[in-house]
Amino acid sequence: MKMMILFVSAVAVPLLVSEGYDWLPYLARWLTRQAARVLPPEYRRRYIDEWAAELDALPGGKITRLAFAVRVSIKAPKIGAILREIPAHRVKIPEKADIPEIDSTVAHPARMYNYFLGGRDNYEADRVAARRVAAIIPGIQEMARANRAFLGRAVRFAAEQGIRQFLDIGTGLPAPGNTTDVARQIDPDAQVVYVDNDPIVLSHARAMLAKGDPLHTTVIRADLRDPDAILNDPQIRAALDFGQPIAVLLVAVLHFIPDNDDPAAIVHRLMERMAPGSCVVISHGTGDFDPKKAAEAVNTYAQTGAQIVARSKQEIERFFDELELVEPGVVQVPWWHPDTEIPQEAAEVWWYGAVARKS
Amino acid sequence: MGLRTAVQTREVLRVLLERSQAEHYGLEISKAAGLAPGVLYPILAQLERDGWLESDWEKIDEHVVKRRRRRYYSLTPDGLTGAQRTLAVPLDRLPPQMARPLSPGWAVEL
Repeated sequence: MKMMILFVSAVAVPLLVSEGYDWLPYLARWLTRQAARVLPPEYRRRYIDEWAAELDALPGGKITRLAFAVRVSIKAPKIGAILREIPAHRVKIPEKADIPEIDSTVAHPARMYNYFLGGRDNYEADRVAARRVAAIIPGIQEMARANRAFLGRAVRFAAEQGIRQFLDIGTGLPAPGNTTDVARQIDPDAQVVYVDNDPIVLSHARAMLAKGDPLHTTVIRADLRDPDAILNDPQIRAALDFGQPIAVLLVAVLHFIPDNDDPAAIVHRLMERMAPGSCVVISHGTGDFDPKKAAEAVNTYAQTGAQIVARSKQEIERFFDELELVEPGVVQVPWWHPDTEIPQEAAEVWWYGAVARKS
Repeated sequence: MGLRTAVQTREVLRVLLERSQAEHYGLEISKAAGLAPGVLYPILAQLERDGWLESDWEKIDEHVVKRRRRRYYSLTPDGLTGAQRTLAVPLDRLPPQMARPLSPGWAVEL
């Protein structure tokens, strides 16, 4: 720790200052995060967040922030020693409002999906579980990528229809090609609201998406099983104009809703409130092409605590009752408005996708 | 605890007692007490350890106000009594036993 601080102050700081000041705020954040590592584990998150808020609030130049970071870094071992004297029964769970500490020891479907996409927001437990699924369904990575590409084409399609508002429910971890990226290519002013019920996803999404452009991006925590909570959420109502068309994205999320929760009724309820010209984008895992393997994969997911329901084409078509399916209807996602030649392995993509319009 | 820390702790207690609750987060306390953050945080941690202080997250929606929530400190009932008693003793009358470790009782024993 001392060596690191010496290095930072003696070598890195003058170097970075001469390179312009842009790196200093990152360096300050990084230093405070490093400093928190000498604290007892149950206090780390709290101090990282506490110091991050202080850094943001510091007036003056970037050097001030660095000075703050260096000072708390030097005293961190002392703070740690004091905190270790606090009796265990008095230690409160270090909450950050609704965002709990991420448990990296239990696999999580959003982070497994992120791994399939080649992302880095995953831990060893996720990779182990993901590899188990991949052992059953070798094409799973291809499926995740195909699904992501479908999301991109569907968002572009909606934007080209003149839709400027996007309600992305079941966002998942941010990855290149997310809804904002695609919608912005068509209209830089597109409004995007991300909804997820998963604290892991929310903390990432808030950090990455909303900070990029808070005026056009909203991230809220809500559960798809309660569509009225989504429709009546004050932040959503502030961000979206329900008098104008909205694209509702239910990409790779309805298969987490069991039949008991009536997914078709949920879609119906959401679309009921949308203005004419709105559309819904759905993709959904299916067992139609290999029921046995699909069932095994569902079981593997169940071990991580995620209940997945693979549905048939007929069951998925029911979600679009009373809506006007855009050609070619419900198809395997690679066949939905392909923008390149469909690769041979696309047949192995066990996801249906479709877009439907409200007239 | 050395005399210097005792004096610095008094300053922190004074800020917590006299300034409004809205200013009871690290940066503002550090400014008001005239202490560097590296000095302040160990003192806050000690006061928390000894049950004189509590801390909790600011009750805001980070997404609405577009900034991170702060960690706010407040005196516990013990801390309130302790701070009042401590500050009632003028600095020039601080006895040498100030050099003992801080504990909830330390001010009372003066």
